[in-house]
Amino acid sequence: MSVDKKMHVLVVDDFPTMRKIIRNLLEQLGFSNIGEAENGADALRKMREANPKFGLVISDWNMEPMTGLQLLKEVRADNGLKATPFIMITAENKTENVIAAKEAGVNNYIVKPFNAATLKSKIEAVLGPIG
Amino acid sequence: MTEPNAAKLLTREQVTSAITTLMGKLSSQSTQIHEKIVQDLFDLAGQIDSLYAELGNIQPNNLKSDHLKSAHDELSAVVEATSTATFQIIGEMEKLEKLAKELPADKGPQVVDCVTRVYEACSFQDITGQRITKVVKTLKAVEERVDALIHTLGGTRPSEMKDTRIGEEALLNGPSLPGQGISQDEIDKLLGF
Repeated sequence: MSVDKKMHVLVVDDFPTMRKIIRNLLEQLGFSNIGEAENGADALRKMREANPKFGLVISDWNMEPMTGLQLLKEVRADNGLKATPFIMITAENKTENVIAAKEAGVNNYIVKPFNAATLKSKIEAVLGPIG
Repeated sequence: MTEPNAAKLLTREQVTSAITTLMGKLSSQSTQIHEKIVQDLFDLAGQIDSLYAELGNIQPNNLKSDHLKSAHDELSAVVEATSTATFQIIGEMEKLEKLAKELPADKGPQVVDCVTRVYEACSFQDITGQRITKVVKTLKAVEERVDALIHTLGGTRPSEMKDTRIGEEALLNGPSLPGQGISQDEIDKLLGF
């Protein structure tokens, strides 16, 4: 079964340029309901307020005041949000980073710089074929 | 409130005074061990004095002044400028992407592919931005250490470092930071165009 492209996707990054790039690439893949947040705290607030809930979060790591890892931990600790698929997309490419994200419950991990094909394949790995 | 590290350090005069006092007390003793200790303290005092003199020669005030602040501001301006330019590039690509839908079926997807490659390439700005931000933080740390050194040596911040360049050399300052320099309109007015 292919991915529901009407699902709400949240893109979290403190760089407006990067949010725009990811948004545009998601739109090319057919997603049309895309939200944006500029840090973990902003994302958490939007996730809690969202109706319908976001079906996928694509988040940067290095942000203030709440990092992507902190956001991930908050999401996994929140009964209403814990099942949300979460992809980390970051320049933090050390082994310990990936391990920490995995231990926190990340569903996939993309290292910047990345390309459209990588983004598509990671989303498919988490949600299923995009089609 | 916690004192900064530099405030806990003794000044050159305080160190010299403390050692001299100690040496005075020990000098009143006559044993061989005490003589050795006194000699060691004399050597130590000499070395501390040399160290302070060398640190003084580094002229931390000159290093501190505008150099570090300027480097910090220039790098921040690089991040800002590349961010603005990248955002604009992406905006124009979005227009192309929309126009591509009106192209024949054999051309449209090719244009979209090109636009995608541009989106991917534009992610450089995030990476370079993060790297430059790291350098800016390092510069700030160096600035703080230099401040501490100035404090320890009893110096004060200079208001501004003098630019000693003259003639055409003094005109070479690179691009101005935002808010500095004049605009194209102002240049045109100045030149009467």
